[in-house]
Amino acid sequence: VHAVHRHASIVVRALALCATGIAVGLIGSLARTGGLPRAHPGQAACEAPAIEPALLSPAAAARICATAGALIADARGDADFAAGHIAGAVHLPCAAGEVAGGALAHLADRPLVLVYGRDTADALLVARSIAQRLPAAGGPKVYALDGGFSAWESAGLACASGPCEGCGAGAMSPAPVSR
Amino acid sequence: MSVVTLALRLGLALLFVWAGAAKLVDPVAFSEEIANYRLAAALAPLLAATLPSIEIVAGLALAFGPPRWRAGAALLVLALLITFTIAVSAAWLRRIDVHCGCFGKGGGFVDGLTVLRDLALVAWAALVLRTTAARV
Repeated sequence: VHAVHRHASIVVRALALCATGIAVGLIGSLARTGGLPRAHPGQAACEAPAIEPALLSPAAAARICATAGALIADARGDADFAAGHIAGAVHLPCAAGEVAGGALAHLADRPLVLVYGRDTADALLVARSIAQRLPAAGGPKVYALDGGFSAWESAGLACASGPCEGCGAGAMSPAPVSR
Repeated sequence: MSVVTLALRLGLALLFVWAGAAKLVDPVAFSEEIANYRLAAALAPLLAATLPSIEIVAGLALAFGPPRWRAGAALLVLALLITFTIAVSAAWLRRIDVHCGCFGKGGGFVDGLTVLRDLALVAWAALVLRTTAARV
């Protein structure tokens, strides 16, 4: 009986502390902003179309890239692209995960687009941006490379290096897209 | 009371006060981060307004409260950490590249390490609850 009473008193105090925190938070929020802190419309990912690009391993990516018209897009910076990139990849200028509007036009008529970055998160940001801004019907199927460029290199798949043609010009480099 | 149990309790209390205070800096950004977990987007504004203060209240009670209140605070901290661990695990398993939001801005993206860190924090809180509850 004593143990039950002891445990109950701990639970009651936990609930009381939680209620205090809720009350303080609500009062503080109302006093500071006059309401609850709402996300700006369209800023939260949930408010964007629920299109989640599929992740592909390097081996799976290499297979689908053999598809005619497939486009491999490098979402890394100019220097990274110049130092080495997937053979046939184009450089996709972007800032904070947003693809430049002009570049999107080059992607719209492709059957599929594979985006890679320095890591998975990098590629997903850009791939999501592409998927959400192109028409769902008739647009390309967008994939992101799992593990970034280093995973591709580690898998021993084809790479190329050289200057980034068109970098900084606001459009994709005119590198060849066939593999 | 050993120095180790005191350090564990005060360390956890400090962590919670710090985490709560960091989230108070930009409640709108925190609200966005909660919404991005895609678990309870409609509740994001309410959670963003209340979670930081719950964390601070729990942290302060854990540090300065009388024994029964310390145990209550430890239980609350443990419950919060279990909830956070479920949320980050769900984001990680669904491969949503969401910012953790654990310590305000700059928490980094959720990945396997975030889940491991949260599991370690759950173990830490469970240990603190056990030691504090034993003294009630």
